[in-house]
Amino acid sequence: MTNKERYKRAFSALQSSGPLNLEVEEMAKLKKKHKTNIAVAAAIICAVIIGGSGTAYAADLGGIREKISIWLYGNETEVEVTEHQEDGGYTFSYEHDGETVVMGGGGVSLDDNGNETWLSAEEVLAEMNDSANIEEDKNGRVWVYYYDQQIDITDLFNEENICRITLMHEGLPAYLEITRKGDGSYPFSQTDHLSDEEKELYSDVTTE
Amino acid sequence: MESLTFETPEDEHLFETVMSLPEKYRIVIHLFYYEDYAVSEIADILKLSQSNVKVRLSRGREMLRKILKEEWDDDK
Repeated sequence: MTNKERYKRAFSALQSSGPLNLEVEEMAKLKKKHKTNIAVAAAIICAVIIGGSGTAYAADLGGIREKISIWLYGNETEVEVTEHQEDGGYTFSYEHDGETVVMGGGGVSLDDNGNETWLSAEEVLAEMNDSANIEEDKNGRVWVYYYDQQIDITDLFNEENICRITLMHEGLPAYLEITRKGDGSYPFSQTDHLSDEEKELYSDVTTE
Repeated sequence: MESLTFETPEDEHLFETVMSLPEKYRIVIHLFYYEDYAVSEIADILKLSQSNVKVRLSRGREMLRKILKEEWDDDK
């Protein structure tokens, strides 16, 4: 019998019992708790880079359009947003490195009762605004962009090709763990909560 | 645990041991072993980093191993 099977059998006692003490009730509530904690903020469907100005492309889409400024790659960037009225999603377009990036996105959040609510364009873009960007330049240097900060992390990867850094913005920390893959991609995770033991693994590189 | 019915004394021992763990370890242990969530899903639920979840799982398992001994195998 595996540990999982053993564990499930032991805790199956929760299903068929009478009044429980408070701590055990908390364990039984864990299954419901996750529904109130999950917020799917931004699902970027695809990004398409097209040459030249994206204005003509955006003009063809129809729908409600507006412009929102967010931090992208260390620069305050104007993003043109077109709302798709039929499905609650959006098309975003912005200029980066002389090219136009067009992408679709949207998302929902779940309230305490598990009801879905479509996110506004500001809420979807807020996730992008608060998220760091990682990019390797043509000289092979790896950069982290976070709001108006640009940090060269090329030499901060350990022997496992992982880089862990702490960034600060307006007094609040963001902890990034970046993995250097052999194919030139740099997947990363970002959180603002770490235990004290975990924090020790992260280098403070903020320039703010 | 008078109000709960266990199939074996080992089940009761496991239950009581898990309930004696510090809350931060007990929660990830329960989400992993009972609710079958992956590390990434647990990180999402609890708003933790995945490495933090792994550390808590590892420490929770270690505590279970120390108390339960042969009643708790090494996880593969």
